[in-house]
Amino acid sequence: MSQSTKKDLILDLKSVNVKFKVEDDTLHILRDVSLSIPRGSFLCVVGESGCGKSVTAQAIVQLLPDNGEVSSGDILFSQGDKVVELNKLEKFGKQMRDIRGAKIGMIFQDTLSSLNPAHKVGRQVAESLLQHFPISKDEARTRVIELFRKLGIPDPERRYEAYPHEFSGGMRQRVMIAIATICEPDLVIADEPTTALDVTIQAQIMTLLKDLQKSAGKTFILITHNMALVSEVADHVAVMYLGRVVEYGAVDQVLRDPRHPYTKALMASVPNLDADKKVELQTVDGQTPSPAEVTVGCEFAGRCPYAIAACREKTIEMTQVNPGHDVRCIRLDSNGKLPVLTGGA
Amino acid sequence: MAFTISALIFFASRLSPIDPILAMIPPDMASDSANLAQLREELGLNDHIVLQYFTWLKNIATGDFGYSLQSGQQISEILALRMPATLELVLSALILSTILALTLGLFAGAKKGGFADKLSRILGVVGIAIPDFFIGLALLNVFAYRVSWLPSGNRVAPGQITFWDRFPNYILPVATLTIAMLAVLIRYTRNSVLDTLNRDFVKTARSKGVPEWRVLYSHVFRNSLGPVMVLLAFRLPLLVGGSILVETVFQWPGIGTTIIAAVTASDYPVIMVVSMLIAMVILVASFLVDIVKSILDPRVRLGGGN
Repeated sequence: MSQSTKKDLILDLKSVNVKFKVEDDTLHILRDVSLSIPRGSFLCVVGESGCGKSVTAQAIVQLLPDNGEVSSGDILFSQGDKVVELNKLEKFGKQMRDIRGAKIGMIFQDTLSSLNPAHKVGRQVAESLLQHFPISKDEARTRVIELFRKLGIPDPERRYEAYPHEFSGGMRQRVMIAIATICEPDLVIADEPTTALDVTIQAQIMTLLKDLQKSAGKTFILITHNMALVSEVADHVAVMYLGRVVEYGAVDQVLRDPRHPYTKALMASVPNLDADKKVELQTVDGQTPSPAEVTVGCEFAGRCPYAIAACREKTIEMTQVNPGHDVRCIRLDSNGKLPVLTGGA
Repeated sequence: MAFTISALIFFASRLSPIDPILAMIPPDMASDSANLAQLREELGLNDHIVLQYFTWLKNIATGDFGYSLQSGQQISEILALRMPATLELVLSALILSTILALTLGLFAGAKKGGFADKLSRILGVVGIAIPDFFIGLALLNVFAYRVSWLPSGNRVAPGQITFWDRFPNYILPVATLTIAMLAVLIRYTRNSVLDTLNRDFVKTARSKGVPEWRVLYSHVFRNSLGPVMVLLAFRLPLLVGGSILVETVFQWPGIGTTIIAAVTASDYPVIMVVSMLIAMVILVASFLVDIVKSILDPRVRLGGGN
């Protein structure tokens, strides 16, 4: 059995398709994205820019831009003993709003633009709390200050009254984390939370998120393109390419034993301090194709050194190479290995 | 700033080829050149021009605006008489158009293609494409001439004692100015709201589960107001300028009609003081806008950042 029983899943995406209308064209941004996320796990979604990572996050909480919509598929969110179909709920209806913030918290990338410049940060965090719990403003304030202290924001009483532009990037990200976690949601989705921060602050923020996940037993989805982060925090990894999940598995399986040619190329492009300095760092050849181009078969075939004619004929299905480790590639042999490349540059 | 404007007004008026003395004296008396020379000397017109400027500036600053060449009345007296008429016209149009534009603009931006959006589009096109005096004439034609519901002009008619007696007189001129002012403001508010709706913090607010009306009111509206306030300040001169035309159309005894009369009669002291006054109003208004902006946006507050 590759999958754990349905009961343990907090979120289950079943062949989710998302389409965007751009002028007269319809762009197919997510193609049959299926992800099963066990409760209490830490999933990293990786892939290059434009592969649909952020769109996946936005689709889950129904905050896609106005021109985008989930055209088919199911997004199942389990709340205690009942399962809610998120994509069937009204976008700004009461049911969806009761889940957003209270059950699913969101952390965004650009903290300066993601915080309202005209409101005090304390109020912005308290807003979430006051929305979902029948408590007084004073109680909310006390709880926000308590959380600020826990998240390592110095002098929290004074900082409660400050405005976003008075904070450093790292401190603002802590405020964002406070907004996402103040209602103690079951699931936290962090969309590239550390991209705008420098490396030491990145490490602090990641430690903070990992601690939150461990101590409170929360489920985290981290969207990133930083492979080094993935190995530190994740227990599951989903690799996306052009709107499709191409490889999914436990972090050891995917990072140490990548099977999909794209994942292999991605791993080869991660700089390693111990590596031989004379060996040039590898890059993934070619350009990401535009989602506007209609492709048949494997989306990666155009850049893949293993590609053969059959790759371009029909949609490639996910196949299991090991328990819990799925790959979308037809070039794997019965042992799940790619053929050895012969000749060529 | 006020200093520069005063210098511009003063020297520009002196550039005019028309001799103020000749404009002042009836043509049949202009032949007596000895009298003219004496008058010039008395009025200080023979002094060096820079000296004249500073004398004028000193007088203005101490509240002595001089006399009208045309009627011999004190200018301060004329202003005291005419000012209230213009102020009540301009201020009511300003307040009315701002409230209407902000409300309609918010709804228009919040629901693109909705009723408010369509209404604002029509008002916008009408207000921008049609000059305000023409709107005034059209309103006059329909409401005063064809159906005779409203008076055609004049601020006070005989027998009108209370405010409510005079109220109908205000409707057409205020409506004309309001429509003219509304047009650009409404489109601008709408676009500013649309802009703000696309900002990331709106997504954050939504991700907290906040209802849409609260997202609009608490997050979008306040952040949309800043640019609108700047526009409002830039539109003020037009409002003053517009009132000149509208006052003429509705025979409104305000500053606008005063300046028209002064320009036709080459009444320089009046033109200069009234231009100075308009410039000061605009300066004060832009200062007020800065204050309002600092209330709306903590980032522009003095000593706010660190």
